[in-house]
Amino acid sequence: MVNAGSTRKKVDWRADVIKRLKRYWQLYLLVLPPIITTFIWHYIPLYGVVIAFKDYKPKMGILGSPWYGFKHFEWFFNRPMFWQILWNTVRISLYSFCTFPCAIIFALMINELTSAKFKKTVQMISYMPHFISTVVVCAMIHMFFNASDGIVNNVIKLLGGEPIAFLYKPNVFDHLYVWSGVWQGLGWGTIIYLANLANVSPDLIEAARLDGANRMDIIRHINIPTLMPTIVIMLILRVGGILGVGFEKVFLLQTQRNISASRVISTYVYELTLGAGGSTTYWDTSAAIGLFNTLVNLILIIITNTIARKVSDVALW
Amino acid sequence: MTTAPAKAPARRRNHIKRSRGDVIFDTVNIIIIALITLTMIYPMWYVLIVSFATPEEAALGRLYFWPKTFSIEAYQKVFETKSIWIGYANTVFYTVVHTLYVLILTIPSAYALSKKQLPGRVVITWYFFITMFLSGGLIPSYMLNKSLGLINTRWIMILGMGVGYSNLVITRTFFQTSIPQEVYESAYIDGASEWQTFIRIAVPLSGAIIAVMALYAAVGTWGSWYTAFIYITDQTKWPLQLRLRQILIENQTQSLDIQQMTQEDIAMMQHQAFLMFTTKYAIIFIACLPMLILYPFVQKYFVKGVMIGSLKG
Repeated sequence: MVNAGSTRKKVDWRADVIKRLKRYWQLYLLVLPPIITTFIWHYIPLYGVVIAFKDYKPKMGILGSPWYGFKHFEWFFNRPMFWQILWNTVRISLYSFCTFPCAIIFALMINELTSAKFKKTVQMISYMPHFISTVVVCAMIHMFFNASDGIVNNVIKLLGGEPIAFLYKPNVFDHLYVWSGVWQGLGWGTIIYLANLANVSPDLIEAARLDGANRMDIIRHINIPTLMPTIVIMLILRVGGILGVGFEKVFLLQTQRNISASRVISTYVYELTLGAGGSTTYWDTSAAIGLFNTLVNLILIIITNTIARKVSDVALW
Repeated sequence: MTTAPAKAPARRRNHIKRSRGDVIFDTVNIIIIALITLTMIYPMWYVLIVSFATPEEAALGRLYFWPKTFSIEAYQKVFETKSIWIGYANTVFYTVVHTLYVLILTIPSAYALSKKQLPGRVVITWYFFITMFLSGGLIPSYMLNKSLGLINTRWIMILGMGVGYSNLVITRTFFQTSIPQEVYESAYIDGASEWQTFIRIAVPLSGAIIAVMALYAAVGTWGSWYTAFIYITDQTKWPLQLRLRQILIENQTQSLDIQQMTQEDIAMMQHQAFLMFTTKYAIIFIACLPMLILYPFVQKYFVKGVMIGSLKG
């Protein structure tokens, strides 16, 4: 290319640049709309986070409000509730995180099925819960685990036990949250692993079998190593979300009675602000809490990514 | 760049005789998988049978697998409940329009970013990548939308960022790997502009990825309640999911229009209470119905999306 360019005349070269620019401006135009929407709905709120360091007064606006230093952070860290909220957030995340291998194991198991028809049926059924909306899943939990007429308690009563008000018990909240998540995401989570497993060479497996390897050996020494890069990537993504327990499901499963276990950072932010009936007192504080949350997540993901890069060559960036 | 490999050759495990260990392995494996699969499907099945059972049988907890008598009373109740259908109509509207919005933002920009020669491509990609990890949070977003005048309007359900980094990457990867570069080259030689190549070549060849993105967006919007919950107080604009939350989780069932009897007709009152129980299940079923109908047809597109996404992160 360089040689070809240098032999051309200068005018040609200039025309070439103009021609290229002509193309590029159209490409830039194609990518411009999402740049604008992202700027508006993502970067402007990011700027809005400065109220975390201000004594925000709606009348004075973001710029006009006086600076407040780190007092909002101090206020949050010094609340007696702080440790409970942080612990709830971390605990629920870590518990969810621990179910990470479920999808891998399930994929390895499905991969071993010999009947194509059965395999397809299992996949079809296990993907389905993924398509049920969060509200409906949480509604089903509320209804199934209802103390008076839920099916779970019907079974408990049938077996001669006492009905349990699951949603009123703080110590049950984690299990409801995490295992309903597994129920919903297990099958869907296998897709990516199954796709990788389909690429394992049948010849390799046959060779291993001829060498006397049994099924577990093949899983351990061929299938799992095949999945490793994907597992690492998925792991990094999960670690990055460790303080990012989503608002939606926790909030939908929250009741006045289990709140000691279910008040996490995101629901607390809501409680302080929009949940407080139009009061703007804690808006600035809530921005500080949100910022704290984001920073912790960011640090976690950078650390994980660095480690992953060192040990395995696989990383997000 | 080659496209995804053609079908992997069929397993040739049968070459080797199955040992006893294999038989045990397979049996245990099948049993565990079957149990897991049953656990997956039973809750959905239970919703279905309760919704079609007589209120008495279902609410008194005698129903586990198959109703003794069928009843469509619960569905009659749902059909009479106007608020649910208003929510349904709103959701359909939001889903269609928001999906279009997402497509218009995602497909062209992913195409542009798939061009390796585009100067500034890396910077633009990072610009979108950062959004995955940094966000303003609830209140700064609320302040923005308030100043844009979107609160309590239908616009809030439609507008927004509209692009997700992962969707952008999936679509970009599709453009890079599934359409041979030579096709573009020859178009350029023929003097086609980028715009023309996009409209005339890329779009007609990318039906699959457009379907994937449309379905991702549609399912997301169909199930979303959070935005409406935060921003919309006018109940006539509520999407279905928010109404479901009100009825099924907050138990505000007055909108179901089940009147409290003033007469001493206790049996009737009890029947109404039982009916409320089955009606909730019928509501769930009706809310999931469009997805259930579409699911067998669209499942492969979702799987495809995950596969393309896994090609290169």
